[in-house]
Amino acid sequence: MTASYGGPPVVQSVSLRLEHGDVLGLVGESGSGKTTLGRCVLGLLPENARVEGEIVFEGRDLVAMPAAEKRSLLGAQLSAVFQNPMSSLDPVFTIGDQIVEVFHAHGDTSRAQARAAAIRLLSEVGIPAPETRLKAYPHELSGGMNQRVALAIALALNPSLLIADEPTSALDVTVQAQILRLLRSLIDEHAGGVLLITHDLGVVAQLCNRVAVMYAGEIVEEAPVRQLFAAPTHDYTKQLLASLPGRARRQRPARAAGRPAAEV
Amino acid sequence: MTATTVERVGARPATRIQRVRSRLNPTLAVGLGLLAVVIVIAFVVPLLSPYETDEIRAGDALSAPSSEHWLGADNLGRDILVRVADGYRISLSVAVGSVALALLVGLPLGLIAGYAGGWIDNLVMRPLDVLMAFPAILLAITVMAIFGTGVAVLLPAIGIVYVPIIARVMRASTLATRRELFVEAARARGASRWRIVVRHVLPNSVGPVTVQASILMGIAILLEAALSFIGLGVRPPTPSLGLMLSDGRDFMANSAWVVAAPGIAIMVLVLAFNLIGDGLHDWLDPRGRARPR
Amino acid sequence: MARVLGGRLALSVPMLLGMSVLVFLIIRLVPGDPVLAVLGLNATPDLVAKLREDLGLNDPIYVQYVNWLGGVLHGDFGLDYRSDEPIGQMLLDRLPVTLELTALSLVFAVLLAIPLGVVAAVRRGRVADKATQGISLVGISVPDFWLGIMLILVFSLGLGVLPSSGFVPFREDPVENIRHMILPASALAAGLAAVLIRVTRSAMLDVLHEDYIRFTRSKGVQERTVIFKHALRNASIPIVTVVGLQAGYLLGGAIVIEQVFALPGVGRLVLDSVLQRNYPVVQASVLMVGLMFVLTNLAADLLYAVLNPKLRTAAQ
Repeated sequence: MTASYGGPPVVQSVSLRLEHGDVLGLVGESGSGKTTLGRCVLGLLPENARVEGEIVFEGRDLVAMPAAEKRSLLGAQLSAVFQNPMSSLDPVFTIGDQIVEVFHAHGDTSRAQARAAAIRLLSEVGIPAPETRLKAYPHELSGGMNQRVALAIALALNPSLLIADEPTSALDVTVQAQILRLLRSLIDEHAGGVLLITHDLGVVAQLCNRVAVMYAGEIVEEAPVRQLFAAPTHDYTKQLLASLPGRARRQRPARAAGRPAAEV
Repeated sequence: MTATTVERVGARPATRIQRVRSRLNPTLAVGLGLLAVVIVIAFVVPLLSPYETDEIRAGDALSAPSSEHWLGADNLGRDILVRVADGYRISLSVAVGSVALALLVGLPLGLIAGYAGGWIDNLVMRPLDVLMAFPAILLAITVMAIFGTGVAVLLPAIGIVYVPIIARVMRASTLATRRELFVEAARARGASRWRIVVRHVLPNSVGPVTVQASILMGIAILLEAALSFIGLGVRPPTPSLGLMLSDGRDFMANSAWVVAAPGIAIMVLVLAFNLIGDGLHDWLDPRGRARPR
Repeated sequence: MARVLGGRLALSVPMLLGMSVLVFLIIRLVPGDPVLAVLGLNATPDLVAKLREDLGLNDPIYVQYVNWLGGVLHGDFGLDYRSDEPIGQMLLDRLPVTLELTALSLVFAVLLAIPLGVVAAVRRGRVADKATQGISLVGISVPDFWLGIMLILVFSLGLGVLPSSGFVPFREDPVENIRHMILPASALAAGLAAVLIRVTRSAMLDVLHEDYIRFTRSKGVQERTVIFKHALRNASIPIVTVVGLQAGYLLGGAIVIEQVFALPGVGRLVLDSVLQRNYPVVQASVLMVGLMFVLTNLAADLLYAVLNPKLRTAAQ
């Protein structure tokens, strides 16, 4: 599958497989195209994007699918959480409204049922006093809490695939750890498979069972987690591992071939 | 606040020169073109026209637009095209004059308020805020009420309305530049902070001020027309598009062009200034057009 | 929220005071003798002396101001020197007309502009967007009084379906009342609508790029819901701010529109009194318009606080 925004392809000839039960980490630096890949699967790219190829999800091609059908998948079988929790939630609606909204978008749940489910979800993601929190607005909660709410929404309907785009990058380190632990338990409960997009190998080590490394729009290496960490094959992967604190090697590795899509 | 993943690759202009040229946009071009047309009409038509402004030709009264009178004639047989040209000259002079006055007073005020900050800022801006609290036309009417009518009063009347607006824009510009520059100015070799800030503020503020000025000129034309229409603008026999409209009202039932022509004339000129203002804004801030991501 | 409102109210007071000072000074700024200006040819020595006494011009200026302000706060604006009518009553009679005109214009403008602005934003760059922007540009360039005249030409003189002037109170005949208000309100609304279209489009474009819109879409919410329930709601916050700022435009425009359509409102009073050099009435009516402006702004601020949950709770 290839995706571009009207210039050179941002994601080039990517081929990935994700099985039920996988937590696939997609690692790369900014500009590697990993976010674009994630949004591509979700069908949430901006208007000037072009996608070629196919994305097969539960036997159906997402690229060719009509919008209405895709919409019925989003939130139910296919969902996402994004990087910045403070801006992920609509500031003018209560978090209760926003959780309930995902139920209403996918079938006729009564208000009472939806509300009860929302309370359940909130306590599952570790938010205290969920009944009162329903009426809270996003700006009244911290980043960590907002991300928990976002996770609750994304996992409400037990999706087959959760795409988590840098879910902890915008959080404080201590909060990051909490959210990662939460993710771990939630994944086991609710999700079929997870595509975890991140630049942080530490996160990958904690949550993923397989890893794909992305550089300049291409997947340069893909392997089970332990194998990648122990014996990386691609130059870039080796560089990434070398840059982890505490594991610095003595010599500077040569720059990997290829050009990133954009310099930051 | 939004998560920026710098992944998008758009087509970017190759060189700096190319980028500037691509910013001279159609809006600005059309606006300038229209303005040029108006200026030509205002100054060239009277020279070429066989008619005088006040030439009363009873026989031609209320004649429709024809090859003799391109825009028709009013109830006294006066050629409308020539009168429109005269009206344009007055409108242009009022627009330029009032904005120039406002700049003269507003720029220094805004500069002082932005630079000094603190109680001086308050001292300058609070009365200006009160002034801004009045609807523009009300303020102008009030001034005319006290001091009488005529272009000489009209210019400061409209100018006063604009002083707070210009001062605000200038103040914002000054504040923005001041923040950046105080660090530099602190390291300046002997030059006073004031001089450094001013030297940087002025070029930076040219942009927003010009955009604002252009829009204000358009509004000045509307104000002058409205004031003249209600009898509080220019003093007859000075021609004015607004006056033509109020005179023509009585006759419009059968001679629509008597009110259509001056109105369209006003609209064209104001449109020109608005296009210029928009075009300038886009030219100075192309980011506004191309949304990222 | 009460705290926010209280804050805004507190700011309004010095604003109103400042206005009153300015307005008060009107009559004192007239070059020459205001008394002679008011009386004109009727100026006999007795009348001059009486008027001077009535206007309190013999007292020191701060005393005059305090007296005047005191009177105003009690609703006593003095008497009209032509007719000896209490000015306060005159204002009261005319207030409903101007209020109805501005309110109706606001409604027309919003009903027209917001849908157009949303369409322009959603179909950005395409024909609908460019057409809407063009309409908006023309709308801000058109003189509202000329539009009024043209509307009269077409609908009253041409088609004969709507009256060209006059006012019928709502209590007497609601239908006639509306019929007489349609054209003036439309003429006044056009300029405001044009501005609102731009603001709506711009605000919607900003909002549609926000993260929460993407997240909402990822929930599988209908696009229609995304736009109208989420995006528009958020965009309405900056839109309301602009409406508040434009209130001055509406009130000012009302002055001229009332003239064009012969509506007996406060604006017309301002005009007539200015032309007649009836300074006490000028003072009172100008102050009234200023007051209406401040109150409208306050209402806009209130609406803003209601729409924006971030203002409703204590700042974090």
